[in-house]
Amino acid sequence: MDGGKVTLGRTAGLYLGAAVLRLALFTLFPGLADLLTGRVEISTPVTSFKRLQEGLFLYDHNVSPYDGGVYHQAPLFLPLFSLLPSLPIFTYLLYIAVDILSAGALLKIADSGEAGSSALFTSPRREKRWSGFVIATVFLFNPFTIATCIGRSTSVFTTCAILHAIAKAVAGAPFGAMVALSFAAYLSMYPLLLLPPLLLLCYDRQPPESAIKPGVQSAATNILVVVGVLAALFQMSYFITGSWEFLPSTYGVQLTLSDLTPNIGLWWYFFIEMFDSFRSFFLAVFWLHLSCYVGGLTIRLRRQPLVVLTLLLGIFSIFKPYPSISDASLFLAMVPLYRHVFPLMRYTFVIAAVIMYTTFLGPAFYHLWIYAGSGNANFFYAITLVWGLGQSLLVCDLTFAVLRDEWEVERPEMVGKDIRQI
Amino acid sequence: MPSVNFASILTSLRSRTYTTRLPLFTRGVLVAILAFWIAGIQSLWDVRAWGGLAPDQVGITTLYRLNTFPFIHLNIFHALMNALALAPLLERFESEHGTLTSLALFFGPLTTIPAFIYLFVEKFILRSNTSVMGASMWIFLLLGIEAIRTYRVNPYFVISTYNIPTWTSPLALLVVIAALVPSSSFLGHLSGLIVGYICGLGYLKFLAPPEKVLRWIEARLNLLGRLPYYISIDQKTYGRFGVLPSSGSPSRAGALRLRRDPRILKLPPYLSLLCILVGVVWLFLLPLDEYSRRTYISENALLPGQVHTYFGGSDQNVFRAYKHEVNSLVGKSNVEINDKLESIVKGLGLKAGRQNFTYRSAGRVYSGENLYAILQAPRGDATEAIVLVAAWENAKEELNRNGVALVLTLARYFKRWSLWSKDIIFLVTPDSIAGPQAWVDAYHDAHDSARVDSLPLKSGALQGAIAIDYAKEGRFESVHVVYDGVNGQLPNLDLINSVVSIAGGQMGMGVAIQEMWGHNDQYPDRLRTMLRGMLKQGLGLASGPHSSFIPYHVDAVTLQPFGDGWQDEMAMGRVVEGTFRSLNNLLEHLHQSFFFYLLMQRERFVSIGTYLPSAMLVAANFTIMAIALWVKSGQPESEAEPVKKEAGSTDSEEMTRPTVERDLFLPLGVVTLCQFLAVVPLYLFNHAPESMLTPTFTIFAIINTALPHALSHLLMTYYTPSAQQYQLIKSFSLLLLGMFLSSLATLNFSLAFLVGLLASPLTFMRPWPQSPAMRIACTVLLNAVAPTAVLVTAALAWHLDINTVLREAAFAWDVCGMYTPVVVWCVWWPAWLAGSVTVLGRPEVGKKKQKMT
Amino acid sequence: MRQLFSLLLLSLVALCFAPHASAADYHEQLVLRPLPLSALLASFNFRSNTTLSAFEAHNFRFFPRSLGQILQHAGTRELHLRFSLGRWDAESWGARPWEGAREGGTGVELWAWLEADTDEEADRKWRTLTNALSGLFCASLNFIDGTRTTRPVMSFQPEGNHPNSTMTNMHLLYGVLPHEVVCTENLTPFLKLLPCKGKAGIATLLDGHKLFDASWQSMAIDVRPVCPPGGECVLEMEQTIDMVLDIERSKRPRGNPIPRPPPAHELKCDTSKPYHSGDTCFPADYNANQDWSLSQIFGRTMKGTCPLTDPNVPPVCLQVPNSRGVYITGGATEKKNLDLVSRCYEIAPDTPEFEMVLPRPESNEESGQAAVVVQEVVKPETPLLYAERSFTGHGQEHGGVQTILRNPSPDTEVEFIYMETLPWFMRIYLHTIEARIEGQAGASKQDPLIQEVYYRPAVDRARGTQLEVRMRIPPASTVFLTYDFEKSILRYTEYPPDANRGFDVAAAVITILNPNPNPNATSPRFAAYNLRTTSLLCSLPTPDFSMPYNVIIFTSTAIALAFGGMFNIIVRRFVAANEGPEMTLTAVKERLRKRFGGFLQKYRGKADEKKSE
Repeated sequence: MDGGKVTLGRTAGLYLGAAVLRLALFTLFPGLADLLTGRVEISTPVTSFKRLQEGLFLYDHNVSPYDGGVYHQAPLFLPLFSLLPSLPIFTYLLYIAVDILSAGALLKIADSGEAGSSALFTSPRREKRWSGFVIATVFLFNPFTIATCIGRSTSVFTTCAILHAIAKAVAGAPFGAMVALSFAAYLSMYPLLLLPPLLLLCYDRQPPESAIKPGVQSAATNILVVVGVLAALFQMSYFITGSWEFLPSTYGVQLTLSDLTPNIGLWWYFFIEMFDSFRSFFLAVFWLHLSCYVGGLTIRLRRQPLVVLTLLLGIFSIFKPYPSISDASLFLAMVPLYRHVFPLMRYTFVIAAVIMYTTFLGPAFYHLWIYAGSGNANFFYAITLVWGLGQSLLVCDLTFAVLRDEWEVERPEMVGKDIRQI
Repeated sequence: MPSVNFASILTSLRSRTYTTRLPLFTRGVLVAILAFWIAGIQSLWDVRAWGGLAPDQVGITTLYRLNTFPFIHLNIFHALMNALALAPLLERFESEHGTLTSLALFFGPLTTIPAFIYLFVEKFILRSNTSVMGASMWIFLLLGIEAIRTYRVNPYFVISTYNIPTWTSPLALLVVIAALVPSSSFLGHLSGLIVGYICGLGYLKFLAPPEKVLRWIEARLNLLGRLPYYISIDQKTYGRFGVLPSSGSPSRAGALRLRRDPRILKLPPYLSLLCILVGVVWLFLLPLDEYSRRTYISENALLPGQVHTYFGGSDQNVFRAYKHEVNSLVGKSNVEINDKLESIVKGLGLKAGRQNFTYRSAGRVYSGENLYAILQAPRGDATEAIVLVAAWENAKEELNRNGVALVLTLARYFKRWSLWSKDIIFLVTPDSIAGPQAWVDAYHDAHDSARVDSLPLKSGALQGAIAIDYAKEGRFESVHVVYDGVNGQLPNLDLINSVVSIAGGQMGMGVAIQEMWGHNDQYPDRLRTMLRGMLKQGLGLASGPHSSFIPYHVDAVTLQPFGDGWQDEMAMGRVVEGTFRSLNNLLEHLHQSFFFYLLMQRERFVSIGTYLPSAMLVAANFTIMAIALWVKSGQPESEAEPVKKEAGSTDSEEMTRPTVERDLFLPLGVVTLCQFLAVVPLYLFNHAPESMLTPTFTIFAIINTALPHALSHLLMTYYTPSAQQYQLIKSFSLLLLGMFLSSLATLNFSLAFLVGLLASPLTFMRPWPQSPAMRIACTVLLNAVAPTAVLVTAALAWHLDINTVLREAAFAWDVCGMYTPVVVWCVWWPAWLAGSVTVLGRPEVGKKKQKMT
Repeated sequence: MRQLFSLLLLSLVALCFAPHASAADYHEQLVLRPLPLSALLASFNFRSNTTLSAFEAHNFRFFPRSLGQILQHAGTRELHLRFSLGRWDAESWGARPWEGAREGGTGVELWAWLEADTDEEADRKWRTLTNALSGLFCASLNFIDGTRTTRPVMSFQPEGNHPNSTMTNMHLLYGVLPHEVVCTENLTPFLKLLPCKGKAGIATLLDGHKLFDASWQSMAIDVRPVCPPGGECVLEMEQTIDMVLDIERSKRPRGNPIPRPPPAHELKCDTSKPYHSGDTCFPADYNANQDWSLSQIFGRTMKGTCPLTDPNVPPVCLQVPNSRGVYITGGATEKKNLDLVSRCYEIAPDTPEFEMVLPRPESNEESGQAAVVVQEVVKPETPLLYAERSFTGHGQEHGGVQTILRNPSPDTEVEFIYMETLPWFMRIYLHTIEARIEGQAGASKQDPLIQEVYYRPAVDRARGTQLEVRMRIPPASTVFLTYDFEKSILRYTEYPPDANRGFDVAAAVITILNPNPNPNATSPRFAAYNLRTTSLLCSLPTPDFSMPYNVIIFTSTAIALAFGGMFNIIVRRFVAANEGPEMTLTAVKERLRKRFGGFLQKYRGKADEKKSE
């Protein structure tokens, strides 16, 4: 399976297969889409398609969708979806297209080989890697990805934007990368934290023929690009909604977690049970914790910015205010890029088992709590805890493997030996 | 510890070799334990009082207690557990230090020192006097020694960079045991453990008898020649674990080491078996007083039996009149019946509504019309409601004459009261399963409007439901409470408790559950009650009109009078009145008490915390095996070969061997294929018409026996899988099985337990490249526990014909949404298929072919 | 009966214009109307006027000072306050009294027009008003906060006539407390407002036990300025109590209210049944029971009349077919009205007690039940609209609201405004709102049922949802109005103590628009008929209230594990397993050796050489 040769035909077939599968799921099981849209594991208050519909309805009837507690998504969705013909099939096609675009970006990233050998570091094991075709397949046929697509959660747009940002950066097109990233940040805020490693990635992958610019200058220009694009987007949103009240309603909700709808993250139950006097303090702590990884990882793994991006995506999918399985699917899509360090990972089986267990136990316990009424909220909360732990174990293990891979370049004789950290 | 792969313990031969290789002293101890237990059975000489280590009994003359107490046990379980745990440990100690040394040590210091410690602490520090007995002290002592040894080999478990010292593991065990096992002496175990640690650190070597003396004794008595299974001092091997104790060996990072440690690799099969055994034993312990609890009312608002009930007097005349009306309706069509009843309830000033339903299942049509009347709470607002159900025909299709008449009378009686805070809905359904199901579905708008009409008028949120099943004529003695719902969901225990305390306590009539007509509150009856309950729960069928309410979080029970006594219909009515008054008091929806429980007797139950471990252990055994196989498959082929040399061959150089790459795609493919094949039987048995059910089943059963052969043949011809791939196939399928079962255990405990038990042989299945006999034996065994075979056996055991069983299953699936078929066909069957394929696999053949090509 | 009330209204108005207006400043009237199924509707009405000038001058005569000062302080131009309990059974009782204008949904309902320049000022005055009223009426009106207050745009219009100058800056605010339980502590202050304080007149019949044992009762207070053309503007305060008593229940002696089964010989049996015998009795039809007297129903007789009342208005009216005979105490004179279904009683001022007995109609059992029913009670007229609201779906995640609206009239279509005020934790999805006529699939295109929608979405913890829908229902058809909502989970401090009971959702207010406002009435009401649906109970998902500490600890632990693991891997440096500092086992040994001192040495030595062999 390793290093399969990617022909255009195969990729086209893959895309076609994925599209057909999704279309079949949409059309053959009409109830499935709405069922999944209602699942808390898939739709969060900031990505739910039903809330989007509501916002759209209000927008079409000239009620400000942000003057209410339901719609918390970016204003640009409104014109986009109101321009879309009202037939559901068009929505399906849009989502399928977005998924395939993401897969394309992922394929580019994989085939660039950046994961194996970056500008400053070349892994001795890089030969053992999966082709972009395989990785795209893993992404497209990952049940989480499919469920997210069928559930029509708007987080797929963020996923697409992030993947394209990385792909552009890898392709040595800083401008495109920055534009894509600012789109992602505009849609759901947290991708802004990916800026530092992305800057490094752009810097490392500058096309050699263009004169190598000093880091500071290129970083400055890139940051300027991001700021400019974001400003433009906000301006457009202002013109669309006619007021700035979308800012608190879109990003403020993520910052203050005013909507406590259950999800697979760690925040909701914590802030349900939190004493009011400490609420704001712990909000600050949680956000600080979420952002503190950026600096550390960027510095420690300076030589492999793509790894930093991957790990950060994993960390976001655990510690975001409103995570869903679509974030997990994005992270799991990036992980196979590091096929070459899998042998160095220690808990692959445990991680897989934990993730699968929680995938099955989560809905069961949620049913016990919400519908059967025989379990209480702690059931589902416990499962979200385990899910978070399993994912963090994966992140830690991947970090360990990558670092050890780096270390073995200095200490070739230690390959396969036991090591420890002091 | 013998290093046979446990898979082979199924065969008599290997297991015999294991038992026969037990050395002398170990056997002695085990025999002694057994003997003392047997001696303890008779009643004239109380062995426990004689031999137990009771602090105040120990004097100069009774010092023997210091040595006897480890052999004496409280009961058979105690003895069994201790023996099971002691045997391998002691065997290792003996084969290491020799029989004489062990004898000397275990009749000397290693027993007395802990005893003294215990006595000292217990008597002079705690100043209390609890007698201890049992070999568990030894177990902990040996565990301590082992722990220290392990600690020298690999000091830490590393769990994502957290170093947990390995010597603490017995402490964890100590705490767990003290927490789980009642009346276990924490202090005794601790003293044993401490001595174990000290001994393990080597500070007690001075106690060991000098070797010269021992050698001399051996030589003179020629023990080696005379005694069988005797282990001489010279045979003892320090290095059998590849490392010398406390030779400052380089400490390796734990998890990787631990993972490749041969002992760890030998462990899982034993662990799996232990899990299953403990799970089963656990279940059988539950009816004991230590484990089950008395029921109690935890929702204080209920106040059951606190109100005086007035139903009776001239209402009896009314009842007789309604009884006449009902009798006049016997044999009429459903619509005529409802017309008459509707005119009656309308006359009472209630609002009446009707609902048609038509279900199709297995080619049959179940249709009818429900009639219901709403008594609006005076001064109330349509926010909450209680339901009183009477099916025209009960589950056994007897005519529920008294039930319907009683409901009408009660409706008239309740109408007079002004204290109702909730609406009361009186529901009369043509049958006991489909009718209530249709009504409840429609009430919650969860109905498929093609089959079931919507309700013309509604009330508020349902707070509870009582169904009367009173087909019996004449007076009765006591009430039978039926409480299991669809898919094994249970009503809140408070409801059952209040019914019990009203009927049993206030009205002074008996109460029975699970068709235990007579129940002396002893172990056998409790066990029978619990097992019946588990079986019902596991099947998940609807057992009465109340069953359909429970999935909607509406707590409901059915009351059936039985027996010949002096209680009349009015008494029954008073029970219902009392229950309704209690439900009427409710401020909040019932949420306080237990929803997961096993009832042993009407006033004794076990809550989920106590019984869940048994099912979880059974499910865990699959997961343990899966992980073990994964690890094993990661090791070089020669290591993973099932046939093993004797101990000692697995030495330390293998520890540095790197894990080999695993080829995942074929195993994943096979397991996925099995899972997808499962859709076929599920579809077949839920859509075949009734006439076709039996033939379909027969054909399927035949195919079912042939399928594994075909699959494995295909596999071997086209893919020639290696042993590793077979291990992976098994590992994945077991992992899935364990996962599904442990998820299921939270939804339907009994079903998970039963399926887990029936699937447990799969844990020990493996390819038999060499011995075709073993292969055939395993195949036969597997076919004996195949889902189809089990189905047939169960049908025969309960004298049902397979057709009825399948029809009922299809009906329950179509109407009530019972998911037991899904579990059987999509969880159990695929695992069984994968298991049989594994058994039939012949990896060697595959390898040869590879070599040839 | 609507004609009757308009007739009364007219007569009253006429009285208002009469030169002796001062005498007509207060009057009271009790209308008794037997209903089917042995129910009795008793509606008390007390009305007092005071001229606006006198009111401004703090010169209160009949108008209660306590209330008047509150109104002045809060700048209230018009006030409507309702205390209601139970539900009106429209199927059997027919149209509501006062066309439903004098009743509210379950609990407490309050709406008022405040004079204020800005919304903020209006809110401030509103808060003052609610707090003051809650003190005055012993009701927790002060809990009407921002989340429970709405400003309806279509459903309500002022009943009084206001000069246009004030009309411009009058703010309508509306608040409702569905969970409030109305009881005697609300009745007492209500009676205190009357000029006769319930010591004389029809108010003496008001007894807490009976009132709150009624199947349905509603207390209303309306204050509005009325300006008769040409006359002086007066501030009119109307207090109304309507109750439907279950005659069976009310006739029970106070001594033993427990409905024990009667002795067998007292059972009313249907002797026509073949099996009828001494011990078998098919009960006779339930509502064959229409004989009662005032003292039986209200537990006491009426103590004379209130001296302050206008003598021209008969204090007691009874609506039964003229064919039925009624016994009354002396001193009272019966006056049958033109329509053959009502009669009124004048009571001489000096009569100490007034008692009225309505005997069982002398209809022998042989004639069928139906005939009896017809001549016993007046046939109730059918209301303009039937409405029933309920939740759909189950579980504590999603839900739906379904309102079934039925237009009984065969020829005229009904146009009305449907108003919902929902709590903020019910997140309704407006795009799912749908109105379909029974039988037709989906909303009919050519004639849209929904004419106009006013929607103000909820804001978390700040404001409730306000939904007003103007609909039109064709004759003789049933319409299902449905929409979905989502149940949001709250902070654990925001739940009431009985969290698992659920949260009450206020009744929906349905205002049927008047097709042709009555021109000759003084104040043409724009609403032809009002009705309220029942309130609902919405159960939200609840967290475990017992374990905030555990949750905080567990979550923090999980985060600490993840962070610590990451941190360790990042900051630590790799070495081979046998490099770097030795593990701490030897250190332990050293400590032990020091502890146990010398005498262990030789054993350790022995042990070591044993090992080394």
